[in-house]
Amino acid sequence: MLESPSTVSPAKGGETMPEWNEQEQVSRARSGDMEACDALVRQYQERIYATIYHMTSNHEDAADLAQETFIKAFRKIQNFKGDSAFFTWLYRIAVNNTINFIRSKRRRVILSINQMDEEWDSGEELLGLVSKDTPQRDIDRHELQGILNAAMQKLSPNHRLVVTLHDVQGLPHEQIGEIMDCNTNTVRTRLHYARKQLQAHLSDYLKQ
Amino acid sequence: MTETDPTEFDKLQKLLASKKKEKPEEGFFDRFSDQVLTRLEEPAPKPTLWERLNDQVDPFRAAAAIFAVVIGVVVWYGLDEGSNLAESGLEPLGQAGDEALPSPAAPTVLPAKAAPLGQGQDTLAGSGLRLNKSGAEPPRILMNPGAGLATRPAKVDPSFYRDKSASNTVHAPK
Repeated sequence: MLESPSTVSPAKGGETMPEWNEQEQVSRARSGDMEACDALVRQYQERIYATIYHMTSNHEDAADLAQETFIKAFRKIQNFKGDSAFFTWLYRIAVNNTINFIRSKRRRVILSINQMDEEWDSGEELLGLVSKDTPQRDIDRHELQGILNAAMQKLSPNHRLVVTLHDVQGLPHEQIGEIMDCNTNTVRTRLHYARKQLQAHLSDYLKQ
Repeated sequence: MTETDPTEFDKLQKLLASKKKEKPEEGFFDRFSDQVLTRLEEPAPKPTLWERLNDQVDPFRAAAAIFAVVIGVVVWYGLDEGSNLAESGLEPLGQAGDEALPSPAAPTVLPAKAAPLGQGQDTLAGSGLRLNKSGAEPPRILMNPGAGLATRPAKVDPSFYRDKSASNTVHAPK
């Protein structure tokens, strides 16, 4: 079983925040404590939203699916046996929900790209990755994001998921295996294949 | 596909890592938890039968049970059909025809509906001739040899009937 991603969070200005105890929060949420539910949502909302967003490439869908994930999790929290970390269990719900959604809406893919962080606003670093020898050098950062997301959408849901969890979110292979309910070798194989596919789709932009 | 180019691969990883910087509009996460909790307090929609089954039944066990039931039904049906065949004493497949050969004595009435091959009940296997199971008289033979001729005693030499009991006597050659 893998550890929960964060245990202690030091606060600003020298104050110490109370230690994050996931098990305690989960047991309180199980007994219907809304404060504990709120704490769990705030703890994981960004990562759950980001995973779904990178899978769907659509902000509205990601927002709806992220809400559904937490609601489903709290309604079924009695089924959480503690065999894995709450975070992994929550991820599994998010991933299954999202894959079901993608499969049901396969024909209708509408990309809506979120803005980059302030520090990335100029986009120079990102645009520096694009080949200088192709006319595509003229594209702006927003277009490049769109191209990348469109390439992601060409992957199968499982390949998209493994790229999202590993290359975007930085989760280790073992944790991805737990989330996807498969072994580490399968995760590595899927990751390798997905990267090759992405490279093929983006070859015009990545060549020197 | 070609071998991975390390430069291209490095660029791809950087591009993918840059996706981490994509964020929703400001304040989205401040409102998110409230929205979730508000929706959580609403009464949960009644789960469908399929959802309840999914929650309560292990899909592997359910699949195994369905498979066992299907096999059971097939075996039961097969045994039942076999015992029906044994009881009815049906002709072997393909050895009975429903239509009898045309006979001048028997009226040739076509059956209302022809039974499939091998399912005729009143035919002689292999010949197509109609079996007589009803107890009715067999058809008369119209051609009666010798019919209408007067009977006359045969003219026989009486010596033909003389006692030949000593026929086993040995006659010496003359």
